[in-house]
Amino acid sequence: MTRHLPSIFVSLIIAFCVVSVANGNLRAVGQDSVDSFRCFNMWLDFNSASVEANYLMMGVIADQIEDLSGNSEARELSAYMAGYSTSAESYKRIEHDALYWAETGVKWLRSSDSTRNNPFAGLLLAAYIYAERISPRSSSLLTREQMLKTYAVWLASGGGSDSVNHYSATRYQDYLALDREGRDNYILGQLQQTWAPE
Amino acid sequence: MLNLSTAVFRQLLAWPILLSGALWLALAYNLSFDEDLGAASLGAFLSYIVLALSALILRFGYVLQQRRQQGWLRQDSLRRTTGRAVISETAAAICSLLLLVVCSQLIVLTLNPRLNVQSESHHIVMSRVESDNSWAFNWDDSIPVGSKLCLTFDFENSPKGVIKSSITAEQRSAPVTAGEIFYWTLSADNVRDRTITLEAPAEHNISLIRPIARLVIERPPISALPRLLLNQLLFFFTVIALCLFIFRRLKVNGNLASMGALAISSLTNLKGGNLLPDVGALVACGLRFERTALTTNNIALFTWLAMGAILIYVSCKNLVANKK
Repeated sequence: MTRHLPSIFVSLIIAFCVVSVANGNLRAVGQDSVDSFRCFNMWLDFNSASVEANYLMMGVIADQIEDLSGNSEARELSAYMAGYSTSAESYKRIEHDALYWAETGVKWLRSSDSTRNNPFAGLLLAAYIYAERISPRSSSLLTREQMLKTYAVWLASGGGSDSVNHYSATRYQDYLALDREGRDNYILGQLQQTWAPE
Repeated sequence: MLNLSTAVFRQLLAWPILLSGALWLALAYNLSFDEDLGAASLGAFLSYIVLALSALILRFGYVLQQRRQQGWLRQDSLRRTTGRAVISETAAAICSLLLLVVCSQLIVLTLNPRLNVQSESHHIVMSRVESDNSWAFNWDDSIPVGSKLCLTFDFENSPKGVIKSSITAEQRSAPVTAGEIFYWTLSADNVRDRTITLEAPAEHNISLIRPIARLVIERPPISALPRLLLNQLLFFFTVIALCLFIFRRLKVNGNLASMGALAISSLTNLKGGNLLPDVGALVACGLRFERTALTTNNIALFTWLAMGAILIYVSCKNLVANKK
């Protein structure tokens, strides 16, 4: 029995590591490597899902990619495709369907504001989806409130850390110079100005 | 001893293994830097190299077990050549790892792939409100010195006309402008303490938009690859020593010894445990590797290497000879 004690001891250490990895208390050597490879495969799946226009699958995979790598590009792309580009009138989608996917796209973006590596581009996209795809189809005050709040946050960030637009700071300062009602109208005006022609 | 080392090396890197290694390197390069699908990240490439090095450690354990079955260990103890045998095995294992590291370095430095265009990456940071005008930030792992906090402040409730304010911490102050991202470069002390508290003048009534507060960390350039790969080699030196110790001293099966060595070395990353020196960052890899890469402090590194040297020294002792 004593002859096997070292082997039992080593086996117990291996078992402890496996349990700790499963509990999330330990990152095993090579675990990031496996995650990297999984991420690569998920991008392949994401591409297939986007070709098939399987938005639900895109959303699920984007969630997993973000969880593994923090990369928010898949999340933004799936929200853009599901909630913005294909919800346009020119896409001839059923009204109810277009509204559903626009709301879903916004939900994907808003639920990950605090977990995306780079949240700034997603803020602007969410504001556009609210303004162009949800507001015309829904008169909800909550939607309006969310839209104004999201765009105000984006303005405060000056368009984000990668922004090349040097007027963003001036725009936020112009916004601050107004009273409460004026601020809301200022944001609505800004969003109307930037609406892309369909 | 050279002959013995060469023999173990050739046993470790038999032709099929060499061929598999070359194929793996080609695959790793394509998966990491392919223009359409690759992440264009050094971290992705490093992650495949770590996997290959771990596989080599498992192979090393397998070869040790084969040598035991061939009766080499018995002969070593009878001839009292255990010390030389252990050093030869260590040298052979290090050379095989070195070969892989040098090849991977050559492949990247020769082909010079395009890396991610953004030289900085954003990472999540935990924040909490200390008071109406102060906020504390903290992070779990050691991050590189020179990392910055990337913060957005809301001037919505500030008095009319206030579009500028200031942020202070530890007698340092920096201006913040409404509508511009505010960057705060962390000092070496902040990085070591893994926390910082920032304060704004109460009269300006500005607030931090916490969900979009981030850490900005510079990505290591391609020229840092030799150092990153050397770090991996240093990490695996002690893993080899651990494997030899478990195999020779504890007389455990070679395959189990190599798995045990990898498991024990993983304990350097155990949350809330200080069993081993904090050297997990030596094998930092993956798509968020810049967060911890090149952050290992020298004391931890030398402790880790000294542990390896001691384990090899202890493994060199001939147990049977000692008993006599």
